[in-house]
Amino acid sequence: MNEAISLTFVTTIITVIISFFIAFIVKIMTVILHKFTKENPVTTITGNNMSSDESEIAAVIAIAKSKQ
Amino acid sequence: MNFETFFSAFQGIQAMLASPPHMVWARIGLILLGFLLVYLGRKGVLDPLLMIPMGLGMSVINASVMIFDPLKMRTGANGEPGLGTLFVEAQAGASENLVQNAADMIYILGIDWLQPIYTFTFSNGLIACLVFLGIGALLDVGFLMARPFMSITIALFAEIGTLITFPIATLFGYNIKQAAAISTIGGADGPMVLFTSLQLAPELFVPIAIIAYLYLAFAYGGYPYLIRFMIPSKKIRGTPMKPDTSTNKISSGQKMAFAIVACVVLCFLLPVASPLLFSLFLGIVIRESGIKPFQDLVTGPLLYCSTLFLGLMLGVLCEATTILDPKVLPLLILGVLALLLSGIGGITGGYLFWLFSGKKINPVIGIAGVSCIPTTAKVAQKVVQKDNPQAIVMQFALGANVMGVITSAIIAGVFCSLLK
Repeated sequence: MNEAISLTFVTTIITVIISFFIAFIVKIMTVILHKFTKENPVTTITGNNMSSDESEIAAVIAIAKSKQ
Repeated sequence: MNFETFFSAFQGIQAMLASPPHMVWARIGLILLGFLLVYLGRKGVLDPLLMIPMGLGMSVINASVMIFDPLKMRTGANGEPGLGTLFVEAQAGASENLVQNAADMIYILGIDWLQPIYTFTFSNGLIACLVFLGIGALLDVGFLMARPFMSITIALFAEIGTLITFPIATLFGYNIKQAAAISTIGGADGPMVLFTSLQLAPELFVPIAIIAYLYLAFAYGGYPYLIRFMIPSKKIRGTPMKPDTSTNKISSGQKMAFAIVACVVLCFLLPVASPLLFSLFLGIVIRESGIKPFQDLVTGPLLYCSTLFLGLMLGVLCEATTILDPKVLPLLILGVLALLLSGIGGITGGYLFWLFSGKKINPVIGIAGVSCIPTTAKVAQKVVQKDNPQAIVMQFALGANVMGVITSAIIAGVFCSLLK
């Protein structure tokens, strides 16, 4: 039990550090790449190959965009 | 013609009569449970892609038991041959003797019709990686990149189930590795549970994988009730969120660059989990690269074929003898506990953001930190929309959802690195 608790503690710390490190990388990359890219935002999946999950999500997001 | 000759023509009946009574009832119960899973899958209450093959497999495997055990027949074991099926032998090759292992495996591969799929894709974790590749190709990391810190914090809260269940599982008599493998059910990510249990507790990987997938299916039906219990106010549940514009600004090139860097960094830090991490990020890169033939292959035939065989294999592994193993019974409690605590943790994280944002962030998105993508995000949206049809939280929920997959992979990697 004690070993498991100490392992949980270590796992929590490592996971939090790695997760926030990834978040930090994301933030830095988003900022840097945004300065250097002029690419149009692309998310191209045509209706034919969408799964039901994807089409449902796309429908909700389309509603959200139409409200902007 | 006597009764013995008559029953030998119907080996299923003969095997049923030869079984102890508790096993007969367990088999009948599992056959009925299989019917129920197919019915609930067909009705759309549970995920039909997984539950229909799994339910059918479960019913059929418990119906088709006969007096036959290929390994005992070959080795000429004492007494009557045991009960077995022609589907799969999960313990084939489990002997300490490597030469006998190989000989048994080759022999079994020639008898059981699903054995090649089990041995070459399931028992080595390949199917988990293929499912993850497909999931990766369906993930839009733009939702995560738009709000990385919020998504990560919620996802970390939703891992509470994993972290608390781990020490609790040791109280049930499991060793450290088995406890870690069981606790990953709290991450609510099927392929991850499969992969981790295979790495850390191969002797328990079949029951852990079965229970994880069964509970995951039921948890999504139960999470809306948990949300309503923890957030009783309709007004709070229906909190509208400002429409998101930041996701649109993230280009596919940026998403691809993120996937490549994150994949290399995570594989460098957690090489034990690299097959899974690599599969996930490869899927993301394929999606963002715009290579349509690869996208079509990965999100179509590969993902659906893997899901079909995953469901089918889980079903046929649900034999009464596996489920009635005394080591499996505590798993039933620990699985529920892990998923419940993860749900509570996620909603608590959502609540904190609601409080600190001046009540602008809907706390229901916290449930999406429980990672099975995109189901929990859809659960969040449905619950919110029921109380406020104008509120759209899907984009925010998906950010936490995507990060949930990544944090689950990180925890699995940390467990494997520390314990393997």
